Amino acid sequence: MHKLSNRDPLDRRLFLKTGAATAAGLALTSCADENPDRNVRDKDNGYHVVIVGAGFAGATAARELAAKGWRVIVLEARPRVGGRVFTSQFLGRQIELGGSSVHWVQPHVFAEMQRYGFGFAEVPLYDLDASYIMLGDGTVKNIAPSTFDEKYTSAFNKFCADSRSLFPKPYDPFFNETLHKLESISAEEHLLSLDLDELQIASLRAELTLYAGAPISEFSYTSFVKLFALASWDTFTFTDSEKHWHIDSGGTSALVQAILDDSRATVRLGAVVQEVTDHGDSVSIKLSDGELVTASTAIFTLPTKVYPDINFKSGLSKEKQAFIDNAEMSDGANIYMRTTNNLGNTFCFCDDPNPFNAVQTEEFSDETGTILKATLGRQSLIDLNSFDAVAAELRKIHPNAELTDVAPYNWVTDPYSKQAWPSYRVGWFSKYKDMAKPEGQLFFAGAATADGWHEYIDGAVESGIRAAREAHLRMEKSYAG
Amino acid sequence: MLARSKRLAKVSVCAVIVAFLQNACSRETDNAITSINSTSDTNTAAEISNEDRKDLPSDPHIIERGRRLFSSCGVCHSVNTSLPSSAGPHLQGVLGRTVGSVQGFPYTSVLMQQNGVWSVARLDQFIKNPREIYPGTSMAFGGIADESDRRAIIAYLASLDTD
Repeated sequence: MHKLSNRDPLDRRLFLKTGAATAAGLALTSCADENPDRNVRDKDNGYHVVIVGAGFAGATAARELAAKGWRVIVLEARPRVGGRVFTSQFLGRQIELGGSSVHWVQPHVFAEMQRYGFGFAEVPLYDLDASYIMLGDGTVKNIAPSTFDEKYTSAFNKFCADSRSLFPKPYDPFFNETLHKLESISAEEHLLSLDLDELQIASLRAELTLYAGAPISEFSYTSFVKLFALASWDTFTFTDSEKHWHIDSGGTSALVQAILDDSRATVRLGAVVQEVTDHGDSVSIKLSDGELVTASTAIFTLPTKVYPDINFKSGLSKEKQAFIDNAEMSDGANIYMRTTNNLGNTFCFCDDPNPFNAVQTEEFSDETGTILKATLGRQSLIDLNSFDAVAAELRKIHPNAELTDVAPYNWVTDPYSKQAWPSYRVGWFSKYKDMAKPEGQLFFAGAATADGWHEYIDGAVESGIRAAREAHLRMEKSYAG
Repeated sequence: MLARSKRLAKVSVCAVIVAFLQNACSRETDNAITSINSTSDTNTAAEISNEDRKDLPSDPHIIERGRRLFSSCGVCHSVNTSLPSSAGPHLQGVLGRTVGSVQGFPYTSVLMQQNGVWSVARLDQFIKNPREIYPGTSMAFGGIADESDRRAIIAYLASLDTD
């Protein structure tokens, strides 16, 4: 049986020069990346941990465990790292096609930005030239930005009015036990119980549909209010945290890459996991091409809807399986659009069942025209790959829009996400701990398992730290025993 | 110090590479696409490329429309090998290229196991519904329903080879 050797860096470069241009280039690169500068605990070259998924959760877990000297391999099905974040280019500009917004009230991702020297890139959310609300029937109301802000803020404050008492300790979301009694209340039911006018209901329902990724009659009311509590129970801070700041200098994907680079873990792209066997003292993972990867423990960081595509030979607990089958529903997508005409700095909320729930100017000038980003809670309401359908939808808001270029990313048709951001169905918020719970040698991360910002990048980072801690303690105990 | 009494689970990456290469060397054409691509599989890349190009639109307006429509594809694919291709293989010279053949790109095993060549017909079917023609492809794209849009994109890609 061949074994890895820790070649010196010069040898590795030579090896790459001569060997990488083969069909096995990526696997060879993986050899070269193997943990040369760490005080690796074990010198006999096996892996201690296999991490499935190279998004924020997986990258963070890899970094944490490698820093403690464990030998780590990360398996990623996609041809890129990042998971449900994806920084790309659109007409020469950096764009975020998945999770995008970050903020200093999101402690885990902010710490990672600080650690690797990333700053904030501002999106022109404020000082709007025009703002619009599209009602459920497609009627568009042009509302003065000051009125828009006043109405929306008032509605949002009413919706989240009980946040401080419900979530006095947001990272311990069920600290207030009365929360369990509210599990069956949907966002729709709560919204309609408030004294709001037509425009307030339409704008707030648009916002909630974005988070739900579904009709909000299915969306857990309290799970959304927890996010508000995490933003210091403050509407301005919440909006600022969700729509105003991106990561500069390469964006979210560059930050994930920086974390992975720091881990020095072996990263395998295009590695599709098919089958998982927990042997009690080790875990075997079979890939779609028949390869077998074995390690002492495994951490899974998959989007919840992807778990059914993997055969867990020993099964998963019935509680976890129930969460996988029922808890999440996000049908979301993003699309960037460019118009030749300068539409100015605009924002529009579109009530369900209009497909573009929020349409926000990202850039505007007479020279460029306008770069707009639309976020969809329910991508199945439109064919995002039909240019004409997208143009028609945009012209409902901006009748004179001259659309020339589009760049959508549909997270639901991505076979390795099958959903957008995590969102909890009514009745399932309290069950997220079932998804997070270790089973045998298997550990579970991913934003859906976070105590805090579960629909956000921050939740993914938080979950990666937690799962890495759990796996570390398990292995420490195991190797000491 | 950690005790070494327990067996450490192992994987040898070098052994994995051997298995990987063996697998790549014994490629088999996926039965699901054999019938629809049999012509493409037997012709040379040059024959397919030349034969197909004759039937593609050459109207500059259609090619320009294809260029704009390609912005959807461009978030993952570069059309220039000198530029980064962020989540897909570059598409410079894709017509006539063997499927799953860009060196260094981490294809899933489904595309790695193909022997066919990207003809116009095969590209059209792939862009129409990627997972119908290649179940298990990692391309995160649902497909373009409009035939004229697909033709425009392919015409644009073909036009790059003659620029």
